[in-house]
Amino acid sequence: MRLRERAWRLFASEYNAATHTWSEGGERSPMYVVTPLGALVNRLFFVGVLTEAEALGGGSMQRARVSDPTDTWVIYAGQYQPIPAQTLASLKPPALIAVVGKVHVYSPEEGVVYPSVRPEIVREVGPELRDYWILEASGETLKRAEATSEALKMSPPEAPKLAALGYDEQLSKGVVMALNEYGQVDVDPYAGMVKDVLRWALSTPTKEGAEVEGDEGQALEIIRSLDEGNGAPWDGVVAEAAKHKMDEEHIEVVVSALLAKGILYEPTLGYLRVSE
Amino acid sequence: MTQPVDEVVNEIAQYLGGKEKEVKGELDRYIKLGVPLAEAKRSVLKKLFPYQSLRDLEPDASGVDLLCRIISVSGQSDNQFHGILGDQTATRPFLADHDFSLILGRAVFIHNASTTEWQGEPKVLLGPDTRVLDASTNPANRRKEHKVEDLKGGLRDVAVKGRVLSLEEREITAQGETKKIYKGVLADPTGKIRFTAWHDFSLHQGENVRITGGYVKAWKSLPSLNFDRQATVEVLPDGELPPAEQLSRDRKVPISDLYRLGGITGVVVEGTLLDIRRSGLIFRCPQCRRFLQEGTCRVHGSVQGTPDLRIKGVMDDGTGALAVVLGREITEKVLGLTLDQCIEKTDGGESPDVIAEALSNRLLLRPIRIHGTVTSDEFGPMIVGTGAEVIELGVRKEMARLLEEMNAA
Repeated sequence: MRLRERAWRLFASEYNAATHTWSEGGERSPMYVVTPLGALVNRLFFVGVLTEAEALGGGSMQRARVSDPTDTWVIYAGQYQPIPAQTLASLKPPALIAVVGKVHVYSPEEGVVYPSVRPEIVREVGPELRDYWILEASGETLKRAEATSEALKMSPPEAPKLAALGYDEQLSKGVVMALNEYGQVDVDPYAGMVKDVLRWALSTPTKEGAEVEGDEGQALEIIRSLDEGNGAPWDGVVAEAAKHKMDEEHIEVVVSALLAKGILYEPTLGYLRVSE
Repeated sequence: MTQPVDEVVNEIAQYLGGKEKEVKGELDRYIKLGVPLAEAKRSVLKKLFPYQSLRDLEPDASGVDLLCRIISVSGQSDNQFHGILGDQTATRPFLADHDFSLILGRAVFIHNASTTEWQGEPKVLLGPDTRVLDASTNPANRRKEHKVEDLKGGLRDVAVKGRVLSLEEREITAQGETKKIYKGVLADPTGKIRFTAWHDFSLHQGENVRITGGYVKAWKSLPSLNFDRQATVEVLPDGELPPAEQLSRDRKVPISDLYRLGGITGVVVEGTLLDIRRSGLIFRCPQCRRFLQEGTCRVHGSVQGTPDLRIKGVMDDGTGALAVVLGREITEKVLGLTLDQCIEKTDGGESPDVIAEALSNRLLLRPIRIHGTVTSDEFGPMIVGTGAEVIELGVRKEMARLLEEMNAA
């Protein structure tokens, strides 16, 4: 039984720069995308803004573009990812989402590799989770950059030596592999990228500054009006929303998003209240 | 610290009842060739002392010499000790008429024992004329004091110093008798370990102790320290170790370390919950507490389940994936509902999905911090949580700090 693959935190620009993949060999072994900084990625996790989602080929496949502070992720959700596909179809861009997914590459010809993502989870999230992810991804990217710098000092680079410096086994192996595949890797642009991301993140408004419009604003009004001190009951909210032309599925999605953003909370299960 | 050569010569001569010159001559030969003293001692004894194999033992023999290991030993009343000896050929029970300082796991030379018949097989008797000599070839190991983090399953005859963080008395029944044993947690600055004392050493919570002659067993890679009557426990002054409050703090580790460590007591892990399944209101087999799938227990078949609440999922911090199990208390806190309220809300458990979904909405993709104990099996590491909290997402300060660090470098 295979151990579950870890979900790497990385920025789109590092992922999209990958032109090599690796697999242990054999039918059942998973495929890894090898990034220039030595991440051996099979599963990944990122937060970004959904800018576009469209149905391809008769509607069974959703292609979406998600923008993080460094580049754009391309996601394909097909017949084997029905729940994420549905979520992508129902979200209205621009929407801040978190994605957990598996790597996928499209290689139309030898040496040309287009990395993309097959989502396992797609959820709308709030800016706090994006901030947390940016912090995690920054830290992990810097760690990989550092490990690569250390490996570049060795001749030849060796995984056990990197592990002795404190880097985990998988990363040590990945960095050595990356240097073999990519040759000399220029680490400085990645450090610069992380600085830019952090500066940008620090300049964005925090929760208090966010505005709520449209269906979400409507939902908040409904909830406030139905709250008699213990929160607004779900079924009451659903009934009221129907009067405003929002069907049950839609109001559920809207409320989920508000809950995820922390604008709503449930004082007890099944009751909703606006956070003050 | 190794024994000086003269001491070894005297020890062996005493054991042999003479032959000092011969012993010294033999020992010198080995030492000149660079053989370590303990190994040389063992080789010389083996050479000068023909010993029997346990398999060849006859009952009612005397003047029996053996080279074997103490497989098990326990005390009886009248200060007699009994247990089992073993060598490569067989195992045999033994009875010793006084305390020969027999330590579990130790290899020994036994000179001038006798045998009797017991339940159809020879039983070794260590009497007043029997001499027992230590034959372990690693005296350095014997004197070494382990740190808690070094204690791994399979180690025998360990010495460790730590503070008793918790202690409780349990009663067990063994061989028809009830006996009091003591379970708890011992800690030093390198970590914590669960222990079981199979004998009353008058331990007290909060005390610093040095335990010698313990052995370590592991279950699912989680080590636990065991010590019985054969061990010694020495109480140390309070200043020997940091205070309990400091030692009991759970150590934070990245998940990748857990793959390497296997099992660890008292750890805290931070990460994001990436998967939640078979959670919420569940039903357990009334006989074995296993999770019931559609009213059926894997072992006991179709049963009437007892309800329970749990959160079972996978946490990931970017360095690895960790299975998570959080019990009823924590689940109730997360939901803001008690088990009874959940049963009500789900029509007596008819539609439990409501609870599972609420948990999913509340926890999925949330960064959380879990305190608990980690074990590992073929599926990887798993933490059973004693506490869980959502991480306060005030990360702006952290970001600013990281940026500052980068600019400074």
